[in-house]
Amino acid sequence: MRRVRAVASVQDLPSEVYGPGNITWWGALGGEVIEGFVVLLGVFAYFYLRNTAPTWPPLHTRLPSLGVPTLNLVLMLLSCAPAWFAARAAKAEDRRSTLIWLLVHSLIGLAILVVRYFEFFALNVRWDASAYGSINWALLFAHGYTAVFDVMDTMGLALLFMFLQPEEKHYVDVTENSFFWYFVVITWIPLFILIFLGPRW
Amino acid sequence: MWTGLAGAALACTAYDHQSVLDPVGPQATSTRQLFYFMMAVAVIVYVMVVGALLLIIRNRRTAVDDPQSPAREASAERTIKIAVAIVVPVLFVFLLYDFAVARVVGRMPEGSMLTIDVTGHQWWWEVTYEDPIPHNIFHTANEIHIPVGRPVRIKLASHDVIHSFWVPNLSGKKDLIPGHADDIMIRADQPGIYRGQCAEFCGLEHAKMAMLVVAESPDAFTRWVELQRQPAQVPVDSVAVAGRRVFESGSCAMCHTIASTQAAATVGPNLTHVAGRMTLAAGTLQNSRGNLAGWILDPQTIKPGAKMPANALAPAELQALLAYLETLK
Amino acid sequence: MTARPLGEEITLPPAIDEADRARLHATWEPVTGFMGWLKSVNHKSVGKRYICTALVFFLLGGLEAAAMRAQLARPDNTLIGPDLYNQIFTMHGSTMMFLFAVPIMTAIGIYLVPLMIGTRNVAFPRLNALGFWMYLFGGIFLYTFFFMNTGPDAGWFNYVPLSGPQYGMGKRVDVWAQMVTFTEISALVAALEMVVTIFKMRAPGMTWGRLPLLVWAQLVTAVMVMFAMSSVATASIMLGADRLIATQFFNPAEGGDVLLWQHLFWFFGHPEVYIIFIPALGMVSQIVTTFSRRPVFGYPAMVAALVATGTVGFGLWVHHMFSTSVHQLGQSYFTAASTMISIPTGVQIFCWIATLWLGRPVWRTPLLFVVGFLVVFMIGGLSGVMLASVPFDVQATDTYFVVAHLHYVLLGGAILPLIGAFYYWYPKVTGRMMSERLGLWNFWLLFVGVNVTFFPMHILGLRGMTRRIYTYPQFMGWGTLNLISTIGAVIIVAGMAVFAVNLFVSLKRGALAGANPWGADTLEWATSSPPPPYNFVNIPVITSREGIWAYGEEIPVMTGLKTDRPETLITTTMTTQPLYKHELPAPTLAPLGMAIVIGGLLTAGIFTPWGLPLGSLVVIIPFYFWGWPDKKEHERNLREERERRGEAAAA
Repeated sequence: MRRVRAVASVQDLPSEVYGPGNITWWGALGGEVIEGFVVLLGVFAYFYLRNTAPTWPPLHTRLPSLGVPTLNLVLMLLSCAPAWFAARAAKAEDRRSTLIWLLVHSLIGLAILVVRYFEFFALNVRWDASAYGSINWALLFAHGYTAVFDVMDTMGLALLFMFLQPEEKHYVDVTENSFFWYFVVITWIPLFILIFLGPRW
Repeated sequence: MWTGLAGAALACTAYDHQSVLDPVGPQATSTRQLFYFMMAVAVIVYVMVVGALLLIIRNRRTAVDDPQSPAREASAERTIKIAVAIVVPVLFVFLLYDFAVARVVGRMPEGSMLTIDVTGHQWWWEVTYEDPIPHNIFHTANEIHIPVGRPVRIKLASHDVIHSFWVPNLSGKKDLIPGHADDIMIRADQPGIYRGQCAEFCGLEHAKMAMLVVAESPDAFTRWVELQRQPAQVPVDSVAVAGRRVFESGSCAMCHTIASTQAAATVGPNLTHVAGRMTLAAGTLQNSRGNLAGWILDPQTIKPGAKMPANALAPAELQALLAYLETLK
Repeated sequence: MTARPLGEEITLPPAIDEADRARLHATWEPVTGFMGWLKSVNHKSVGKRYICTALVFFLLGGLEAAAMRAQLARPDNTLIGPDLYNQIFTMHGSTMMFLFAVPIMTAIGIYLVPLMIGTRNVAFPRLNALGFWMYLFGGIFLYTFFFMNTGPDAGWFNYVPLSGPQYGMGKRVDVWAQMVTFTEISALVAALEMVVTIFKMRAPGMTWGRLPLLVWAQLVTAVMVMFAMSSVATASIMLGADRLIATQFFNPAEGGDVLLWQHLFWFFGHPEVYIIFIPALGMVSQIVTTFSRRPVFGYPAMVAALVATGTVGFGLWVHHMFSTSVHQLGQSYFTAASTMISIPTGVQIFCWIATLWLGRPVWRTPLLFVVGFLVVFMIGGLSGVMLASVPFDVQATDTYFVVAHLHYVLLGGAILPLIGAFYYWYPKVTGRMMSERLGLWNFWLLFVGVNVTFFPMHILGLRGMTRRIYTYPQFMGWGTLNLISTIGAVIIVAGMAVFAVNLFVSLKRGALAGANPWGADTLEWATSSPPPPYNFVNIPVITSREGIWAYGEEIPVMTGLKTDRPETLITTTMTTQPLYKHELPAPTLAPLGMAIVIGGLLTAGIFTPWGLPLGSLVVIIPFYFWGWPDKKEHERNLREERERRGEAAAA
């Protein structure tokens, strides 16, 4: 009959770590891979349709305007700041600072979503007018949805920080939320170039 | 009931040449050769691997053997490496042979190529014989005639959904894709009647969308073409004349064309020379008076979902119509 | 080293602290009864639910197949008309692929992987439960519409334009597209789960080179799912959009392309079959190991083969499109890739055969099914390599030759190993052995049935019989082979019936299994049968690739996890050093609630585009219940954090 021998005790291990040690980080990364691939497939579809089209955009289609989309691009780049500050405050476990930055992040996030609504119209083509219209709306929509998720998450965290004393794991969640937000912003840059600048070339 | 009768009616025809293993054209022939080669290799590989497995199973092990003896493991490793070293080059040989066949199959001496347009519809084949002289262009449906020994280019298009043109005795299939123009080249080296069938699921009656390719001697082909170029026979018999009136004034003319009559719609097959065709309803029925009557009265029982509605005709009208259609050779 | 006798039951040694067992039981299963069942986030409960649900869909898919074989048994048969037949074959394909094969392979992973890697649950237990409910609701959604004569009818692959707004009448295709959304959410969630669990929750000492081959297979599959399911999600959403809100993705008249659908679909569709096949390969490896009484020969080659198959599997999809207008040079690449992918699988087959030769095979039902797998699958594999050839493929594609090929690889390559896996792991899940005698009948009926049903189809295809036809004329001469095929189907039904009987009867009358009735080497056999809710009293430490077999007189374990809350150990990715302790969530209704809301959103979404924005707002409600901490737990955690900080300050 065998015996069991205790080799070591994990009693004193922490209950959270920050960064890639944490399973939440990996969960966020997995979400980024999946969402990123969906967007990448959209980009492949974009190029496939563009390749088979005689002109792009199709005849009698106006080019997308640049004003509103540039505003959103700027807003998104700026929004990385509150995300970064929130993550830093969270690592320092400073409830007040984290809350403030989460609120700023939420506000900028909401602003981005509102501008995103107008960005659809800046395309200057309806989703049902042509495959060009459909794929552009689809890319904006797919990316927009990842932003919606993260803004909802940010607002949820802000509420939590406002009404409850946060635990360690909530501070970790704030850092992972910022990690996901960087992904949302970074994926937007090539999409912006493709959708709003591409047709001009 | 009609289906059963139709089945019985078609029971004794020879329109069943639809086989990959019975090639009459160069592509189908090369492909069958390739297939036999692949079969031979596959059978050898299979027998060797499964044979080894069964042999191992049969052998009993003695109690003292060590499942992890290094000597036996080395022997296993050697055997696997040899097996892989044999399989990989065999696969390469297969690839090279395959690419060679693909090149052969993809080409055809252009020469005096005949060009036929085939447009797929739910659930019939529209056929147009092209000609540089517009007057010589003619339309038919579901039955293609080609001269033996002459290459034929078939230009494929679709009117609605994806279909696939497949006459296995002649060549592999090619899809008819809306928005894409494509073509297939065939050549029959022996006379005969070769059956084909739509090979891409296209809706309710995908199962009943067959066609016949009739390969005949160049003289017979020329005669057939001449006949097809003629406008419809003008009926002489009074019953047939009445029948033409039934056709032109009834619902038939809403979908069908009979050249040089008042019926010029293109929703359904062109019927100018329908009496000369071997089958009806895209190969579903043998072309006989009884079958034609059944088809006209109630297509939905024979081919449920077909776009042709039932036609309530009085018996006299029906007989007249049949009489007229039978003159359209 | 001497050969290990079979059935050397490793009696579980006493735990470091026996009192832990009772405490852990109370902590890990706090709610019982029906509510406990609804709220459960335990991977074993979720896994069992998945398996039972998948078996129900297997039955439904099988009934659909039986109906098709009944209709095709005779030429000009009038048993089933074209409309119903088209719905049935679409349902058969969709059910088997989306509602049975992928979920059951996933489910076996969800049940076994945490046990095999020595942890207590998956990484995100609530997400896991959500995945199950989404899957269940997706299946119910599809079948409800089918029973209302609104089942999809354009094939499981739904080519446009037949499935598009112009030719796909009614809501049938929308139902299919939305079912795909349900099941791809479920599959993606499970895949994410599997990757994070395997990366971060392995027991100390279980480095990458010591991972059981089944876990490797599940990992490769999970990564494939993350890329493949995204593709079908994109495709099905585009199709739904074309139909509902008039986007023009697939409409050539407005710049869209019919072939775009095929590319997107098959980019998913080909990896999909490997997603079904690779987990089965993992199961085969475990069975071969146990019943040869030695590890599978060539572990590094086996792992490389799994990874290679999974990777190259993404580069084959155009071989489903050889009869379209894809450029010839491109076709050649896909021929080469489709041929080369047989090499890793071939290597695996050689290694298994070598293992049997080197080892001391013990003949029980699981091993019998493995041999059946080798004999049957290889026929499918070889016909697959034939189909890689473009000239041959353009003759054989869309004919019964392909139907034969795909059933040989799926039934031979996935189902036979799956049933073998059932015989093998049933004792672990239920604590009882299945009947060997019934197993023998099960095997031979299936083996004969599969061959009698599907071998004639190779010939039928070459003799011109196309796919997806509801009938065929008598004069084609296809009647005899079709009848034989139908008789084979009856034999398969008999075999499956024996399997079902064995499953049910053994629950009550099977011999009691101990912890390790097969004397196997992987960690799930180091705990009781069935395992307790917490899997292991103490997390084991792995010392070798041979798992339990390598333990001498003492089994090394880690202590220190709390027993008053569900806690498990997170380790480092590369070296499996203990990193931190993670508290897993308590049972909750939030996943079920979320699935109900999303299900409602998706159902409304086939009727109105407002389903999505409105539903997204409603989703906030279960989101809140999910994310907001439980009051008692929250206070307890804050208190402990304060104490820890106090100690750290004092020190």
